[in-house]
Amino acid sequence: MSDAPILTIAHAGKSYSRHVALDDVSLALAPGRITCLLGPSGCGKSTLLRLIAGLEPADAGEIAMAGALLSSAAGHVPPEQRDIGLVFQDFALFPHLDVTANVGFGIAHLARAERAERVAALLERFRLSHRAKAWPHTLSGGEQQRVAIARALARDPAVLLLDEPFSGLDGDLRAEVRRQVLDGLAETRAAVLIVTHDPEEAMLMADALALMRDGRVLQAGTPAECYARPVSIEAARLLGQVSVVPAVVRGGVAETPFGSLPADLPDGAARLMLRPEALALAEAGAPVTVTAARLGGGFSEIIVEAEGATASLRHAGGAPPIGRGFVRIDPARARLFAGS
Amino acid sequence: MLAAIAAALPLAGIVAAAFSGATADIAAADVGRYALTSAGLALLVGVITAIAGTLAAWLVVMHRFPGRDIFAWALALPLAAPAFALAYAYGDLFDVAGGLRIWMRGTLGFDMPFEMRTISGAAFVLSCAFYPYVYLAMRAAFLNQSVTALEAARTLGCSQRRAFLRAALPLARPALAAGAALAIMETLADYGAVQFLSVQTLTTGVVRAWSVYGSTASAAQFALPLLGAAALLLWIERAGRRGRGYEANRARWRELPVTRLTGVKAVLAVTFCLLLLTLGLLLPCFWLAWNGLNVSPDWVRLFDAAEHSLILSVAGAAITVALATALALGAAKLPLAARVASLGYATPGAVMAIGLLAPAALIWRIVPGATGFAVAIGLLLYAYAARLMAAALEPVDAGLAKVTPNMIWASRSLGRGPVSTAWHVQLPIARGALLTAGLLVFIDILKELPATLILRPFNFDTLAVIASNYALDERLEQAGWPSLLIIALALPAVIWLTRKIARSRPGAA
Amino acid sequence: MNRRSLLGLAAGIAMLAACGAQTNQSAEGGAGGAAGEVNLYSARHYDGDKEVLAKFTEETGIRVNVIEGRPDELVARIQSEGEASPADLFVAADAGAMWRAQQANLFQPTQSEALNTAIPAQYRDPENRWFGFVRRARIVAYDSAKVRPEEVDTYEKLASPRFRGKLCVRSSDSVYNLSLLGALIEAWGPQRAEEWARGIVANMARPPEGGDRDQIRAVGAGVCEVAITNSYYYIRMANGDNADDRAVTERVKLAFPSLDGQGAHVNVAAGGVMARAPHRDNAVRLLEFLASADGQTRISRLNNEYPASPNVPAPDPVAAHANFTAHPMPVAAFAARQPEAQSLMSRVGWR
Repeated sequence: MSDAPILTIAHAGKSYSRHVALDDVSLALAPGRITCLLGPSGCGKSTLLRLIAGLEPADAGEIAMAGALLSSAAGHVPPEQRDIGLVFQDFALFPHLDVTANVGFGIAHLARAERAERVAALLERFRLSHRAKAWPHTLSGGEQQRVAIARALARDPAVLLLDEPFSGLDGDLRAEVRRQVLDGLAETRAAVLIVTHDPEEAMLMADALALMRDGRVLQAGTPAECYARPVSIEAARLLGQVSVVPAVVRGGVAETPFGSLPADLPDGAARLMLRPEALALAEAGAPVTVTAARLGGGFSEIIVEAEGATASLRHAGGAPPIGRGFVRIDPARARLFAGS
Repeated sequence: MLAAIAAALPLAGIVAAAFSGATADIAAADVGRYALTSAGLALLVGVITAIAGTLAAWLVVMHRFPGRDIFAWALALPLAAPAFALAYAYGDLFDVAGGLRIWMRGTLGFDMPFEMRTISGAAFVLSCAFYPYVYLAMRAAFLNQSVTALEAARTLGCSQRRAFLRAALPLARPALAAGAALAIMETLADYGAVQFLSVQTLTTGVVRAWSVYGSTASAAQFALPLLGAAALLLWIERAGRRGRGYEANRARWRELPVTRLTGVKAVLAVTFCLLLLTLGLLLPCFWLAWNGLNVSPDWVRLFDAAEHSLILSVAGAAITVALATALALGAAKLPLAARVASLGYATPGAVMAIGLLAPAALIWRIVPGATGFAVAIGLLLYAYAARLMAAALEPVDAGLAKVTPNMIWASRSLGRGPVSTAWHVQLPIARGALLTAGLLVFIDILKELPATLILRPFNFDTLAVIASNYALDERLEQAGWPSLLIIALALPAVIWLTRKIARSRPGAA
Repeated sequence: MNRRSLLGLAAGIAMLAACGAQTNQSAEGGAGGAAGEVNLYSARHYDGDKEVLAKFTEETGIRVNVIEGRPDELVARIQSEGEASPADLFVAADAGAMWRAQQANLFQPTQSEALNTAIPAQYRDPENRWFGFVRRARIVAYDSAKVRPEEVDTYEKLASPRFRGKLCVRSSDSVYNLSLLGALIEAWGPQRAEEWARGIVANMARPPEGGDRDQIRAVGAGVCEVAITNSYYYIRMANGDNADDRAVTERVKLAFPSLDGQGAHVNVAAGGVMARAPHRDNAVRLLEFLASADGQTRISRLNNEYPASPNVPAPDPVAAHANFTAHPMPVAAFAARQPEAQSLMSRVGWR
């Protein structure tokens, strides 16, 4: 896997009347890698997708592919001339064309036989061969999804963009389609960018993550990095539940209501970010009050309180009784930030 | 963009004419009377078509009774009959000195308490001609209505009649507004029928200002309030279509709960449908044909004119739909232009003639030798497009609305430029709507009078022109034949249109 | 579908082109002949005219191209066509229409011995810009069972209380009513004409509706006793295909009221050569043909109008109703009074 990026976004910006949708966003996509753009709705991630695809011009910054500028102050390459595939949240299949024609839509310039061959291969890859002659409205949601991706891949684009690809699907189907799509994408050399607001999905799929909020990229890195070493509490929140408790650093040690841990911060006030798994009930440690416990399947979700601070944790055993108890912090999974 | 400008030119011509030249000495009281008559006529036609069209649509969609399958499409057939032909037929049939009423007075000992040549008579005739607009709109709305809403109403204790009044009707209100707006616009634009029935509307004012006082300025001024009214109606129509938009999003179709009518109810339903069909088409056709048998028409001239009508209608429909499509595709960028381009539809024919001469004059003066046949036909086709843009624009717009922005972007990201996208995605998806638009314009051009009268080339008559000439010469027997030919040419298009609507709900036909 | 719709479009345009080519060809064929062509803008929309024009072409070899329309639309069209207008001859069935075309400076004077001889000065423009070639009288149809002929022998009597609620007449939209009232204004002055119009409105049996034929039929049906009508509608009814109409004219008779003892009001169908006529000579020839004894006779026979020339006897069936005196007022005199007449009628409530 080469890490040389095929697509680079540098300092991109976009505003709509008074609302700043994107503010100084930089990102790079590498071939054969899946990058997930994660953020709450309205954070600008879809706007970024539209800018990359060329559906809208950028107000500031540059987007370049393989060294050639796509969007910049100097000009704007229209979407049909960018080597970029796009899969919409609503799939946007053409209702007047059957599955084969939908997938073959972007490769009309190829000879008939070659086109048929490529379409057949794609349908095979996404397990759609049996629906080749079906009309879009007769397909299930998962099938529509795969047709949309196959269609976008037919042109063998250098970059493939997927906008909330699984949000229209639910439960088991979602997991299954995701697996099938990942299988299908495994064979492509395209740089894949997936926009999602589901942290679990993002971490499951991504080779690289970009966390967005309020039009800015907060952090980019591997899922493990982003999860374990968030650059800010904001960034941390994007990847799942966190508890934040006040801390005081003195001489390389942070004192918190749930115990102390080493800190390489200067003396003063700080905040401790705790993932649920960073805190564990113990026989001894920091004294806390268990204020709530709820069975969540294989684990219990427990809320603990100490010195006016609350945190949640996941406990693998049965639910402990409400009342007094002790917790211990796993320093590797907790993170301190300076300031209050 | 160009299409919008082209369509708006005649309107600009009207406005320009309104503010130039001497004004006519028409008493304010007369102007007031004309305006009141126009308003009253429009209101009456609006109300009658709304009631008759809605009731008919409700009967055929939600009920089963003998002949219902035939009525379902036959009730739209009066769309094929020009309003002026109905006016000729009814004016003559119910004339105080006509055979029917002389017989009534002599044999039955009483007279009809109803005069055709009054506002109410004209409202009756125009309603017969225009109720299909409401019927078609309401039928489509009822066919596409949500069964759930009806069922909900029933479970909330509504009888079927109350469910209709409280759930179905309010849900179909946008369609009702749209259909009635079309009927009213046609009423305001009417050229031949009202004139023949000697009801003095604003059109009378236009003709009087122009042909007696020689003041096109005053004539055009009469059109300004009508243009305002047209703009308002178009806006209502638009609002109606917006409502239909989300109605169509229902995920699953279910069979509509139809009621089988028996006994007296069935007889009443059949009678009502038969009455509408008889009044709108059968009776006037019969009367025109019956009278026509008294004379031997000049068949060569009629077939010549029929050929002209047919060619103009086909070519005009193609061009109008092409322009409307261009306009609708560009409408996202300039919605105002699309609206303005639609105003020609409700502009009274006599005024439109003034407006049309403005762009024609440009061509005539700029292009050398432009008064030839080909240019005249070109101008005429252009005039149809300008006048009937609204009829094409609405269905085309609705058809193109089925293409989501994402489909367009998907096509673009798949390497197709805007033109290729329009050709391979937008137009195919909207093809049914394009055909509908084409047929509507086709029917309208067959019946069209004012633009044809003023712009046609030498030795070139259409059926509508011949009918109008005979009527002006008070030769109704002869006027019947071209009128009947118009109906015969338009009927297949109308039948096709209405059957298409029936297919719009799976299992409803 | 694309292919199909494209095909349809192409077919339509091809048909149109074919038709255009065909017509152009024949037009060129005519122009290529020695005699050429003449372009007629006619506000007369009568079937009979076609036969008369065919006769002209047969005699002269000159092809006649026709556009028919309402007079004022034709005038507006000629004005819009400007320098390029192909119009050679403008023909209308009302002196008022000729006057308005004259006001628009459409005509050129025609100096033609043939026209001057054929058409009395009364029926042409004083400056020879247009010439009336046939006449129609605006007269009275009356119920012979209820009205004696001497009760309708003047226009004044129509407005008298004798016919209160017993008169049928068209609306003021009819140019023939406007011309009649224009003539009365010319003869009597506006005040007396207005009194007369008030009398007419008071006498109306019903609000004005329908055409002239409808007025005559209304008399036949007993709705009214007298009706103001043009002569040729009555003559057509009396000799037409419609048996009911013929029956009506057996009871309803025609009377020629006199204006100041000088005769009945007559209007003309007239023609004038366009100022920019590209085929001026042909236009003059066509006008001369229409005004010739043969032309007048043909039109009279086919459309039941009266020849304009006193030397041309009316043919059958018009002859049976041609025994009357026409008022000597020049038609140009009342033609200019139509707007005045319209305003007057509006004042007295003549709808």
